[in-house]
Amino acid sequence: MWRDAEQALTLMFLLSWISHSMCHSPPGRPRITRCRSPEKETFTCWWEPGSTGGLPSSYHLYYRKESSLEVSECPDYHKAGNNSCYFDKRHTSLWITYNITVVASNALGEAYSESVEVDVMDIVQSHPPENVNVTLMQTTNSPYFLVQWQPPHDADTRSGWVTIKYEVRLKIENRGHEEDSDWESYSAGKQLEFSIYSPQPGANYIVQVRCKLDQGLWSEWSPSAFIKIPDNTSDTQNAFMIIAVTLMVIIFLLTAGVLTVKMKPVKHFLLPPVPEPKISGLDTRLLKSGKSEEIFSALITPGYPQIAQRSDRQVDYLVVSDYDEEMDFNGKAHLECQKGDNCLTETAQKVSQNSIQITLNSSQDLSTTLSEHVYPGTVSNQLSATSSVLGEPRQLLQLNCNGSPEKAQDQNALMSSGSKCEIVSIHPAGLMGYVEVDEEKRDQTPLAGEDYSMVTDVISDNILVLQDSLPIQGHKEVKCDKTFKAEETGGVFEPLGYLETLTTFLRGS
Amino acid sequence: MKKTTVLQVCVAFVLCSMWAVAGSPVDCPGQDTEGTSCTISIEKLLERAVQHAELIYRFSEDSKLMFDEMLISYGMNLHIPEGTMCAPKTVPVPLSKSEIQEISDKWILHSILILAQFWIDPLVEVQASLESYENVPSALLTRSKWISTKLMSLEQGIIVLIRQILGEGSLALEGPEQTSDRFVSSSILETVRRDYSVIYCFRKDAHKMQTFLKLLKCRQIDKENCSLF
Repeated sequence: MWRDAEQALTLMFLLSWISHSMCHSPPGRPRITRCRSPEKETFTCWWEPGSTGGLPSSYHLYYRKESSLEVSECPDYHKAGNNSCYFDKRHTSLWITYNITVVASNALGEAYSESVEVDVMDIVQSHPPENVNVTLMQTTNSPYFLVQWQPPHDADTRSGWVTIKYEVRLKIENRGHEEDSDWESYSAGKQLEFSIYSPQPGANYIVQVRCKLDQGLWSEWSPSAFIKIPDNTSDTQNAFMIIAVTLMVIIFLLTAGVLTVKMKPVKHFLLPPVPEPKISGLDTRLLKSGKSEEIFSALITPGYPQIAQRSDRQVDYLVVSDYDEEMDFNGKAHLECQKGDNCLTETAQKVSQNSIQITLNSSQDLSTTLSEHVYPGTVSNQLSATSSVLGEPRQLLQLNCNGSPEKAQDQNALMSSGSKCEIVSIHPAGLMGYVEVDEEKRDQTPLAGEDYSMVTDVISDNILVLQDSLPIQGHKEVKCDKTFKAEETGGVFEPLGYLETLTTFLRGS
Repeated sequence: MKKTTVLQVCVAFVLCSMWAVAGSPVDCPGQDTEGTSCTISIEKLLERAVQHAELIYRFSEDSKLMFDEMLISYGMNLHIPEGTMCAPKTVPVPLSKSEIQEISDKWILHSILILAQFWIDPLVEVQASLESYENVPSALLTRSKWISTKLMSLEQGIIVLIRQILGEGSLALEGPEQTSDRFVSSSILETVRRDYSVIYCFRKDAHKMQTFLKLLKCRQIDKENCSLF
């Protein structure tokens, strides 16, 4: 029995020894977790070990600077703690990349980590600002609190080696609830203090500051600073409110009493009676009785209703009709030399000038026809008289067929650039009540009876609204210089139906 | 009536500009001027140079980030390509604060000047090449254009500074002529690589210029408080 026990023990011992030795293996690969430089003069790299393989393993960090082939070992393994390597000022160079590798080795072998390329310029992350304190400044009406701090002790700002920028954040602490409010962040530039205005009375604030060197990473937030805003203003405010409300109630009661005592005179004072209508011949009592015929019979006397003379309102309006045979006649009429030096030598068919005929109709149905040839580059002065009626027709009626538009207004559909001419003619029409501008369309397909696809609206029984009713006549070059030479042989004017364009004026303006 | 007013305005403008150019011997319009009659104080010159350098560095940093984003949008990942070892300058430049503490003002200024002169041409090339990219953010284009122009004015400012601080005459381009390798792009990838390396390496040198200038300013202006002695 003893022998059995001995054997069992030996066996177990052997097994455990074997298993123990079997678990040993070379170490796993370590991994460099991060490298940081707090002040752009030194830096530290940390790594995390892989599996140890059961044996004590040691770690070595090797680095190689960008321009040289020489491999060096970490200068200081201890200053920054376990599994770290600290490069001091002598060993730190900016603006070159370090190629860093960590090697884990134990009795059974080695493992290399992945190499990391580090440029100190890119890994700058400062320590947080120090000595953050908050003080409440009680000015008379607007209390505020002032946050002050110091730069991290290792950053060299005096020589300008680094430029530090700060950021402040604060939030209100709610003691009762779990949920605090959100942080509010403010950028504080390069200064070492920051004022928060209009704090909430009675609130507890938590304030933190962090900083950034040049274009590096933001530091951690500093330890919190606390401040409580006193609550004393609210009591006085409450008392004030109560007094004010009481006073108002008293005043209200007084006025109510006065009103009830002196009802009628006050009522007359506040609400003067409305004067009744006095129409001669109209008896208001008849209204009450409700017999309409009597009322109106009383109204209709020889002198009533009176036709207002309206002499103060002269309604001038433009009536623009379309082309009919009238056009031919009128066209001919205007082909005569009216201005002397600009003569048309063409037939009526080829109206190659700009002609605008405007009819002014006053309310007395006078029709005076103003015919104007608008020569290129000129603005008819007489047309300006109609500006008030048309609402800026001056712009509309400036037709310029030279190469350069006089007023380059692209939105004016009548404007033509290049050497294109448009012809707008406004005709005396019959009983039109508003302005229509006819237009001669050279290249448009004649509407008469054929193509109504361009019609977008019909205003009355003889007015059609066409879309794009003012085409810019493209390819036909109309030379509109002083000597009107009509180049168009084609483009015969055809009598079209009634074509509108109320919209042209609207578009042009 | 109109003509006369226009004429008056023109004459006034001409007179004013002439006065502005000829007058005020103390205040120069900018550090770009080469006028010998102009004397700005060294503090102002240094301040302007520092501001220029800081802005140039900040914009070059932005440009690099934008370029990275653009590359990601193209699907390329040039993170730090192995080929972006920035070409070492022919003249060694100090690489740490301790090294800078040891060198003189003259050497700092010369280093800055060499750096500025080195990058003017490559930046112009890159800026031209960037315009042919697809979907290049316009902010990147404007920034690179800005950087090119401001770098040239910074270079001129450094020359003025050298003249004032060191009393040297006008400097020709020192150092060996940069044989501008006519970069013949064999492929789009090569062009992108080249542009990226220019932006990446310029950013480092912009940071150097900014740092040197700030330290120089500290030494020149604030000798007592400056920790660089």
